[in-house]
Amino acid sequence: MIPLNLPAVAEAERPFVTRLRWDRQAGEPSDSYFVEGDETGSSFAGANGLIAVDGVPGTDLDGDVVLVQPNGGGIARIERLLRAGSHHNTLLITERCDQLCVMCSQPPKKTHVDRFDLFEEACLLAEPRSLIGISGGEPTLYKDELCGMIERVLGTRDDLEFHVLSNGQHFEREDIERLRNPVFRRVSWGIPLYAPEPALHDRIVAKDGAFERLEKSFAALLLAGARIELRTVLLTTNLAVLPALARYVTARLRFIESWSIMQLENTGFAKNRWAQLYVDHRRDFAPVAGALDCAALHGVPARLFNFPRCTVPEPYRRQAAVSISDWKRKYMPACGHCREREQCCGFFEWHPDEEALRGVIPL
Amino acid sequence: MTFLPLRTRPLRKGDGALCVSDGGRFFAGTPNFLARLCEEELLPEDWRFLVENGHAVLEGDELGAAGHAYGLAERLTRAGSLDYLILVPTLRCNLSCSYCQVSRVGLLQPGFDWSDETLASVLNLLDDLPAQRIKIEFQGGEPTLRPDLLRAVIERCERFEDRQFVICTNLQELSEEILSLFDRPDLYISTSLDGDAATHGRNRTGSNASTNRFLENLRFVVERYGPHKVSALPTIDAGNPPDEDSLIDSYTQHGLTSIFLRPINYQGFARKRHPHAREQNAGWRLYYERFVRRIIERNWQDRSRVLEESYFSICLRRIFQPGADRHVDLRNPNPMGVDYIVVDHDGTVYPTDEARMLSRSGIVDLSIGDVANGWKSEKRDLLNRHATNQFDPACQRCAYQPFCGRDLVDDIARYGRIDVPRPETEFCRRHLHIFDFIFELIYDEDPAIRYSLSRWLRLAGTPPALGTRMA
Amino acid sequence: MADALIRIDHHSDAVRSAAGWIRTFYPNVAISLDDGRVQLTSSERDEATLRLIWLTALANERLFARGAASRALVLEELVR
Repeated sequence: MIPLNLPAVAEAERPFVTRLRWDRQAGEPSDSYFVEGDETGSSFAGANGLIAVDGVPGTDLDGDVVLVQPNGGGIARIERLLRAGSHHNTLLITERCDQLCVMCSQPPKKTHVDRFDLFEEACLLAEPRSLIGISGGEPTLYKDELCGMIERVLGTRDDLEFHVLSNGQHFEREDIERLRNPVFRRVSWGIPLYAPEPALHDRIVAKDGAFERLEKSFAALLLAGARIELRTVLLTTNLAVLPALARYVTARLRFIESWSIMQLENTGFAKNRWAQLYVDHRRDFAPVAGALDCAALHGVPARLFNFPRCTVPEPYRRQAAVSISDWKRKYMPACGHCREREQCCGFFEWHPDEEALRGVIPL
Repeated sequence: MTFLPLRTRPLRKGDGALCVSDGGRFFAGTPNFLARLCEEELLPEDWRFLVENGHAVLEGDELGAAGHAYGLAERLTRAGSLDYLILVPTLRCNLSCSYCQVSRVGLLQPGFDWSDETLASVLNLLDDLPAQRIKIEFQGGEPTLRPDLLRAVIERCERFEDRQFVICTNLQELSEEILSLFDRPDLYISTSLDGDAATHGRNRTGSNASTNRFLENLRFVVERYGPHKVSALPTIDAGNPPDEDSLIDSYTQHGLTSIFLRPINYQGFARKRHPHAREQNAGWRLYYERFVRRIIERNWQDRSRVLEESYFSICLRRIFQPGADRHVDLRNPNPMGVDYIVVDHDGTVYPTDEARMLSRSGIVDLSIGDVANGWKSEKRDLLNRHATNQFDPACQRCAYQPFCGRDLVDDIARYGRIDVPRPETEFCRRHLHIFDFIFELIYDEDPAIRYSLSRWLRLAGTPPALGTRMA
Repeated sequence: MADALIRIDHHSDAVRSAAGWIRTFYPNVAISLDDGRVQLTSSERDEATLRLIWLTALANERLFARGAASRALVLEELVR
């Protein structure tokens, strides 16, 4: 597991963004350079003063864009916002959310700390051609600030792209003009839909009217030419309606860019509800196959997220994506012999080992 | 206001009617449903079904309305900038096939190859193309007679990120130079294979020695590069088509699985030697259906490979997967001289290869310009004003309109005009037949049929039913 | 040889158009309009099929007439 937050001490009084650099020659004025350290930690110096980071050697942090939190909120730390060389950087815009999905991996909080300025600074320091994730909570609770940040960053950096996770409860017809700005061609929106009808979807996200509101958002997004990655987590409660959901998607949501059918992550709310919610797809793949075939039949690209390849029947294996971020991924011991390991997503770091071990068959 | 953009047509088998929405979604309706539709007395469950399946747009359903418009837009061609060229570097040929469409000239005839100026114009054209991808098909005559011209064009295309070349060749002669071109991974070979050796020889190669040389060369390239590199097409005498299994075997022997059944074309040498090729007839259509059914049987018996009739697959995918293929002869609208052109041996530019052959046969001149001076001509604009099926009154009532296209050149070739009522044209009859046949198969529960259709639709599994039925 | 005799209320525009289009799309079906009914005759098709041909032709005309305005609107929006 790769640590994203590390204890640190800083001279500065207020939070700031900087890039950490091992080699003085490589960098720019806004960077902070390695001063001294060993495997247990190191210190860096830059325009905002000294930073002493605990826990990893300095070389691990080379090139990372970090947010330095001096001892303001109680815990002094650095947050590695954009790790160098990683394809899985995500910015947590807010912890507030207006839904309460039964399997939520990032349970919401009531408070919000506005860090848009800092995030914007960080994005401008991103490595060339980065794809930056934006998540929460619900990012579009701050839709105006979010779109503003996106417009300014993508307007300055024509090589960057964003992928924003959103519950799709807040898009309006009034947003269409703004979203037609060409910079939004480099933004894709990951929006969940759990069932083809209001009753079940609303129950899963614990919000009445969510499905109906989502349809209104989809109408606006469609007319705006937005790029949508539709996301459906596999649960015991929606497994049986997956084929019906596929029919809904191919009938009313043809405009999406792709559909990701996702296995459950054993974290957040799903942890205590694991036994009730988790679907062993090795035993009951038929509804998933039905949905995949329906999507393929009608030309809607669909992929499987978080399905280790050996657990997927061979004809569908090519639709299994390498979906688990590097910082939370693990493999089982038997995977060492598997010839498809490089193309496999592996398991979540917090996936129950006994469960994983049972199903692994090296290919 | 409720919007019900449907068109209906009886299914060929059974008692249902096919109902197709403007966006190409379809279902099978019962005669009682049809009667209710006529009386405008639909039941609540009728409406529920229609809305769920994207066939009706109710007042206030914003997503349904937007989705409908999107589905419609998906069916319309979006022709971008020029990125597909058919180039004819020479009209000379070392064979004399009886049905030759292009009125080829003899091997030693001077004046039928690209001049230096024409080559220079083609290379300039390539330099100026805005797209980052390019597809070039070399036709002729026999293109391999001028490997130097092929090489000049191919090398000029190195700057494109995404390149695809196809050499249409009779594979009679394979020199080192030609093989070095073939060795390119971005280059594919297209050839003719009319069936067993006897048929092929009768139509094309004449002597046994020539036929054998061709077959040896075909075997050689398939072995050297794998079957994915080579595609072959038969040309069939509609009045005397070969035995289905014999034709299929002549392909599977070489590891080839796609067969594009095209009957002798009403052009060029075809008109002189095959006087009965004038209209495709009922006999040909029966043969076509037998052929496809035979392929379905053989696919079921041997699951190790999937055979297909190429045009059937294209039409099938047109129904379910708009935009999956880019078959320029079947699309609506069908822009002429926009995203693809043909450059002849003398630098003349035509909108399609059929147009080139038509002009060569002296029937009508459909050239739209030349490669040196451009082709944004009045003639091109005139063609483009009519290159759609969107507003034809017959097409507007046809259930297959979202899947079908418009071929002005074919109409001109056969009738000398483009305003013949659609159902009287061969293009329309051919496609009515194919789509009638396809939908008959879509609604057939036979597992062998579902298996082949699913493979041609590139599905991982085989669904229990490919078409929806209204209960 | 099969006949289908279908009762209709009156000869509306839709009915007349439907008959015309049947002549165009189904050259081997004979169709005649009399008071209160339509008759289709064909040597190649049975009665059920002839009825279906009539139903689909009439449905198409009705749908076409009702949908023309909406279709024009959608197309216009798309072009914009």
